[in-house]
Amino acid sequence: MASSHGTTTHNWHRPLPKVWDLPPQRIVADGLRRIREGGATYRLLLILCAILGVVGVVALIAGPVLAGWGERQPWTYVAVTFGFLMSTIGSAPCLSVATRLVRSHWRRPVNRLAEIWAAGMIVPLILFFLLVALLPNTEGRYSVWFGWWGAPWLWDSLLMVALVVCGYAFLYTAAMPDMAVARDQAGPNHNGRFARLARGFRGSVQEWRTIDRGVAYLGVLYVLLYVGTMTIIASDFILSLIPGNNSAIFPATYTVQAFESGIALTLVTAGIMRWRGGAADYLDREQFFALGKLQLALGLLWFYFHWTEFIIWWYGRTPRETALLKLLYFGPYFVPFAIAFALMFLAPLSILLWTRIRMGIAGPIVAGALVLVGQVFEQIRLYSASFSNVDLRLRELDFIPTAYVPGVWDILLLVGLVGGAIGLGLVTLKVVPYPSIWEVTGGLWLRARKPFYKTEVVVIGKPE
Amino acid sequence: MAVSGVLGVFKDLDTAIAGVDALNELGYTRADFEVLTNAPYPEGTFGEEHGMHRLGLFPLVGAACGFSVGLLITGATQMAFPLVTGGKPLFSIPPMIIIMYEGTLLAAVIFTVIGLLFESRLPRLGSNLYDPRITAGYIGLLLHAPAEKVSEAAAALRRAGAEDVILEEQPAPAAAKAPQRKGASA
Repeated sequence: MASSHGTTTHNWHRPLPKVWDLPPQRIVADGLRRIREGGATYRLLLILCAILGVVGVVALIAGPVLAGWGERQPWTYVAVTFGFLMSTIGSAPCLSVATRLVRSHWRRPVNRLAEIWAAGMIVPLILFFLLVALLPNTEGRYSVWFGWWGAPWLWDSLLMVALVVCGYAFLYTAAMPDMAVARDQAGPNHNGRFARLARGFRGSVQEWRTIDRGVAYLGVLYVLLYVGTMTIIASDFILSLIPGNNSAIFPATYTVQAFESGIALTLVTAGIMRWRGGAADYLDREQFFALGKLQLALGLLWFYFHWTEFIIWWYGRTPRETALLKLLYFGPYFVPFAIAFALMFLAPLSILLWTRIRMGIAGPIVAGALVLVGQVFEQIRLYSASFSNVDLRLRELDFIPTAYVPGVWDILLLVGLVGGAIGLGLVTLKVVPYPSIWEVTGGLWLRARKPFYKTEVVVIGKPE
Repeated sequence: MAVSGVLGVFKDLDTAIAGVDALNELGYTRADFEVLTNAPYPEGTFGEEHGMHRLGLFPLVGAACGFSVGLLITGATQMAFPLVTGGKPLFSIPPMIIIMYEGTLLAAVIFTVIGLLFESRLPRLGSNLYDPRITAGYIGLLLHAPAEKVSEAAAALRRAGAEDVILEEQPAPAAAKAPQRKGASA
């Protein structure tokens, strides 16, 4: 390609992303394609997730619900599922918020993939209401509630409901302009549904300003609520259910590892959408490279937070600290800890440390998938320990409970309910267009390819 | 004075900007017409002011209300049940923080949602003049002009390169659920 200087241009490193060369009409067509026709793979996945969801509900009823609310241990894997979903689908929208706030451009095709998981939050909300009934009152045991009335049930529930409502409001507000596109362009079969959802959106300057700020405010509130909710979950469902565990850093650790899993989930979703979702033009090296860097950074933070907790207990060596080390790290749950350590820290570090791999597409996706598996084992370690049958009025553990071995119902419950939440995300793809038409189109006007001596660069406009 | 709507539909940004200039030459200011697009353009593209937005007030007011309620609940509880806990003062701030934080965020979310409904002016109750091509990438210039000046404005928009100019046929209906193409091509 001849540059303005009459020299030949080269792409030294990697091809520039295709998405910024697409015509706006193509983006509209791609956004509406999944709404008009799902495709065989989509239908197959949806049926599979529906079956898994039904299996999960049956396992939930046949296992813990029939066992009753008298003991915590039969509910261990309900808590594991709840913790996993909160740490993944609950966390993914935070990535969208963070990248919006820093006004990055690579995020435009990614945001919707992260936000769409907010649609599945109804599943952890239901599980939460089942689990919160297991919590005893705060009298005579350690908790963060200082004996407030209604604690922990009322205040936990308020936070959780606020988070889920905020997540849905965030997703809906961000998707409203695209629903207006679907209303007008998706065809007569979809007109009525999208007309109701789009609420007469026309795209005036006033409406765009409101959407832009509304998405920003709801997003920020979502993140603030998410951090608060995860802190309370870590405190009420894990810390205060293990006698003697008053780790000050654990709620932050739990939240940080959830952020790591949210990025991992977005990476894996992007990988699947690129591979089978017809989104290869939108999700290119630029997106995976940026997400891979975040994944690596959060993987390192995982180690930093766990190390900080571990070293205090290890050096302290009081009977309380020794018991906690045995229970959570080296005793009955050593295997889940070792797997989580390998998959949530070592794997992203050893894969994404290498720039060449991080700049590829497969490397970040594989790292993300491993982190998600590691997160399952991390939740198993934490909730199996905290849902053991121990007297919560003890000041410290006077024995180490044996490991909880999951039964068939537990495994079906975990797989089934996670599948059901994924199914909700898939269903949402029929209502919320991917890619986000207004955000990707808005990005087109702010980018231009320019020859720069012997190469070609992308010039990015920053109007704000 | 009867006011009627004129919607010029432009295929691209260049002709739409020419349409804006044409309306300005006729004496209309930016406040007299709306620009309808399927994606947000940088502020000022069509000559609009970098306006302040009141939406930010809603979460702020909500947060202040929620914080006050949280403070009231926790403070009043401590005063109503004066139990010394852990040797701390009767009125201690740290135990109140979680509940005040919850109240602040919960009310901020509720007020933000109310603010969104209010500030977006949706669903619209005024003119229903619209063209579905706008969501396909066209740009609409929607002018509300005195009835006797409508034809002049329509002619100016057409000269500027509008692919279509749609005139409002009748007074706006009382309520509109979804915008449909209404009116007659000029």
